[in-house]
Amino acid sequence: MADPYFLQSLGLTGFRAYLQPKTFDFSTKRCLAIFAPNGGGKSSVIDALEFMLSKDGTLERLGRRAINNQAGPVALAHNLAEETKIAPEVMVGIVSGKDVATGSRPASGAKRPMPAVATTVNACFVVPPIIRGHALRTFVEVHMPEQRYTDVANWLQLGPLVEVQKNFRALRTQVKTAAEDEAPLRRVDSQLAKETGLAVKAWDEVAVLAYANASVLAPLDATLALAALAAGDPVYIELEARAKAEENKIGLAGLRQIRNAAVALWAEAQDVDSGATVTKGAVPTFEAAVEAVSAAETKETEERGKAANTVFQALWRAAEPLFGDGVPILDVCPVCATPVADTAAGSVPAIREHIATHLEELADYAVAKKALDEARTAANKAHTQLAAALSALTGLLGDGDTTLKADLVAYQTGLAGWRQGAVPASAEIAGGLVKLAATYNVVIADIESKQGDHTYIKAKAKIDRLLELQTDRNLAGRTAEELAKLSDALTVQSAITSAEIRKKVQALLDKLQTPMNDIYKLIQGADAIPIRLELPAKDDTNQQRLNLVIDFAQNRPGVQPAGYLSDSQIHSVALALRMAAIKLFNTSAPIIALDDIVTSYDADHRRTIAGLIATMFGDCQILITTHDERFFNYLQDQLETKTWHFTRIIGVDPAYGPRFADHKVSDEMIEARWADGQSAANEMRQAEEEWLLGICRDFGVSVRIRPLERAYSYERSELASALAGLLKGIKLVPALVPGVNNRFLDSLVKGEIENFGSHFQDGPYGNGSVGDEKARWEEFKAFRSQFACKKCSRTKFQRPLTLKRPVCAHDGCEAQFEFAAAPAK
Amino acid sequence: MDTPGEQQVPAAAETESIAEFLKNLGKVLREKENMDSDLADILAKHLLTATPAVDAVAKAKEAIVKLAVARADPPKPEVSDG
Repeated sequence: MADPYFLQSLGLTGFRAYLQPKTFDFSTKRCLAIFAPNGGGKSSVIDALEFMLSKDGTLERLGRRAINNQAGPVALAHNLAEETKIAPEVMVGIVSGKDVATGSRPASGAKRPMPAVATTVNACFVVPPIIRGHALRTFVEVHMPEQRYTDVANWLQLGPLVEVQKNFRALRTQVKTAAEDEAPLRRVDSQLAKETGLAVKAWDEVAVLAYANASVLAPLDATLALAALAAGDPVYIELEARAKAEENKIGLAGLRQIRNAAVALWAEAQDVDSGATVTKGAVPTFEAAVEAVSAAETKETEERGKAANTVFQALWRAAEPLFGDGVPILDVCPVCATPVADTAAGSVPAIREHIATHLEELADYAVAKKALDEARTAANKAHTQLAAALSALTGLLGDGDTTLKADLVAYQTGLAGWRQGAVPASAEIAGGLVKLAATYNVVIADIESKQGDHTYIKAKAKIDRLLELQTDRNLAGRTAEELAKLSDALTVQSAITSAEIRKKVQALLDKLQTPMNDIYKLIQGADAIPIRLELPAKDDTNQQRLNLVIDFAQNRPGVQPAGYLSDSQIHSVALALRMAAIKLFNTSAPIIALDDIVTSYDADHRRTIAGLIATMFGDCQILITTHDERFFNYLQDQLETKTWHFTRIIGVDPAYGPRFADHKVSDEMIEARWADGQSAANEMRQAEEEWLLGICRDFGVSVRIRPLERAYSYERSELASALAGLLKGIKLVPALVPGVNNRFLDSLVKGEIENFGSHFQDGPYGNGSVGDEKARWEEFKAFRSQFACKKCSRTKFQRPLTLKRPVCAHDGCEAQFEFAAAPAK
Repeated sequence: MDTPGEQQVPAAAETESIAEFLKNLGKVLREKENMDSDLADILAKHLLTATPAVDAVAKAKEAIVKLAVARADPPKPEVSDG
C-alpha cells in the first residue's frame, strides 16, 4: 500500500487575515493546534487548506459575489494585498513517504488553478477533511431532517445523489400538474363557443350534435340530421356529396357573378320619361364609340380637303403680320418685289382677306383632327373594356349556356380584328345576354327566397370545424391520459431510483454506525445510548430525510433524539459521524482540519474530545483551531508534544497579519541562540513568562478578571504575585537557588519580577552578557525544577476548586503538590 | 412488496463513483421488465447524471410532454392505394 499523504507545510501570503508570508511547518511536528480569540486569524489557516483543495478556487462560506458585497474570490485576498503589491497565494507542501511535492495557488484573479500536488491529494479525500464548528452547529440547531439528509449526503460526498432526488421530486410534481392541467380542454371550449356563436359554451357531445343538426343542416334540408359527429356518419357523407355537387354546379355567389357579367356586357332598360328602350353595357358603349370614330373620320376628311393647300400654312402665318391692320401699307411684294397693284389680289386689303380665309380653313381642320383622335382613344378604351368583360363572362359560363358561349366567342374573334375590318354584329349576343340575365335573375331570386346564405359548402365547412375541435379535444384528453400514465410510471421509476440511492446512502451510514457510536461514546460517556442514523421507510414518499433515532428506553424505541438529547449530544453525533467517516474513508490522506468545533460543549466534554483526538486519531494529521482556551489547554495536556505543535495568536496587526506567540520557547532554542553567539534574553523572558503562566494556570491562582479587550494578557508581575500569594497561603516555600542568594525567589514572592530577560541583578533594566544570561538561565531552571511532582516527576498540575493545594494532573498519580527540594529556611 | 429495484440492482460498491452509479441506475430502469423504457431514457438523459443541467427538470418535463403527445396521436399507418 502506498504511503499516505500528509501536509508538509502550508503557507499563506496576502490571503485572508495574513498579509505578510506565514508558513506552518509540519516536517517535525505533524499536527498543529492554534488558539486565538475570535477574529484572530486562526480560521484563515483552515481557509487556506479549503481554498487549496477547492475545485472552484474559493471558499464555501464566502458565498457568491453580488453587487452589494465583497463575497466570492475577491474576499480571498487580504484587504491591503493590492495596495502593498503582495500577490495573494497559498502554498502547500505534501509528503508521502520520503517524497515531497510543493505547489502554490494564486488567490486573486479570474484563474486560480489548482496545483497538481493539490489535485493529487484531493483525489484521496473520499469525504471532506475539513470540519467547521458552524456547520455542526447549523446541523444541530437549525436544520430539519430534510436538510440534515443533505448535510450528511454532502459530508459523505453524495451531494449529486441528493440533487438527483430533488430533481426527481420536482419533475414528479411538474408532470402531475401537467397531467391534471385542463387548459387545453378549456381552449377547445373557447373555440367551440366562438364557432357556435355562444350556442354551445362547453363541449357536450349531445349539445354539439344538436347545434350541428338544428343550426347548420336543418336550414338547408330539414331531413338532414347527423346521428353522430363523425366523418363516417351517413348524413355527413351525404352532406359531403351535396357540397361537392354544389361546388360543381354554381353557388349563389357564382350565379350572381354570371348575371352581373352579362349585364356588364349588355343590358336593356325602359327610359322612365320616354318609355323607350335604353341599352347600356360594354357592347353598346363600344359600338357608340366606333360610330363616333366613323363620324369623326368623315369630318376630318372633309376638313382636310378644305385645307389641302395647307402647304402654304407657313407662308400665310408669315405674311399675316405684314398685311395686318395698322401696319404700313406695302407697295411691293416683300418676297418677289412685284408691285401690289400687279398681283392677282390687286390690293393690300384683298391680300389680307385672302390670308384670313386660308387661316380659318386650317383651324377647322385642326379641330376635326383632334376630335378624330379623341374618338379613336375612346373606341380603343371601350374595346379593351369590352374584351375584358367578354372574357369574364365566357370564363364563367357553364355547360348549360353553350350557344351563347359560342356566340360570344365568335363575337370575341370578330372584335379582335376590329381595327382591320368591320365591327362584329352584336344583335345575336345582345339577345342572348338579355335572355341570360333574365334567366339568372329568376334562379337567383328563387335560391335567395329558399335558403338565404346557407349553402352545403358552408355547412360542410362548419361541420368540419366541429369535427376538428372534436379531434383537438380528444387529442387533449388522450394526451392528459398519457401524461397521467407517464406520471404514474415516473412515480414508480422515482421510487426505484430513490430506493437505490437510499440503499447506497444507508450502506454508508450502516458502515459508519459503529465507529460513529464509538466516538460518540468517547465524547458523551460509555453510558450514552447509541444513535441510529435512519433513512425513511421505503413507502415514505419523501425519501430525502435523515432521522437521528435513539432507542431511548425499552418502551420508547426509535424516538427522535431532539426531545431527549442535549445540543451537545447531537453536536457530538454530527462530529462523531464526520470524524468516523474521515477515519474510515480517507485512509490515503488521513488529514483532518477542525475549525472551532467545541463551542457547544462543557468543560468535561472538551476534555474528552481532546482525549478522543489523542486516542483514536493518533495516526492522523490534525489541524485544530479554537478560540476556547480551556480546550486548547486540554489539548496541550493530552496530546504528545513530539507530534503536536501548539501556538497562540496574540493579536492581529492589520499591516502584517496575525502575530503568534509560540507557547513554548524550548531550552534547546535558547541554547541554539547562544551557540550562534547571540543573546537569548528575549527568548528567556518569553520562556519564563510562559512557564509562569502555565504554573499559575495549573495551580489555579487567583487573578483579576481581565477587561474584555485584554482578555488573555496578564502582567507577569500580576501572575508572580498571584503565584506567590497562593504559595504563601498553602505554606509552601521553594528551596533556595544556589549562588544567587535567593533574590529570584524574594522577588517572586514580593511580586517584583521586572527583569527576567537579563541576569538577576539590582538594576531592574540592566543589560547582561551571554555569560550572565547563562547563569541566569541555570538559576531559573533550578527554580523551575522544584515544580515537579514529588511522586511521579511530571510537571502538570491541577487544582480543583475544592482543594487548597494543587495535585498532580496525571490520572494515576494525583499526588498533592510539594516542593521537590527541602524548603528554604 | 419489495421495491422492484432491490431485486435486480446489486448493492452499489463503495468504490463505484457517483457517475457510474447513476449510469447503472439509468440502465436498470431501461432494462427492467414492465418499465416504461422511453421514460427511462428521458430520465437517464436529463436527471441520472452527476452533472445535470441547470434546467434539467424543465427539459425532462418537456420531453415527457412530447412523449405523451406522440403517444396520444400516433402517426397513422400509410394506406397503399393498391
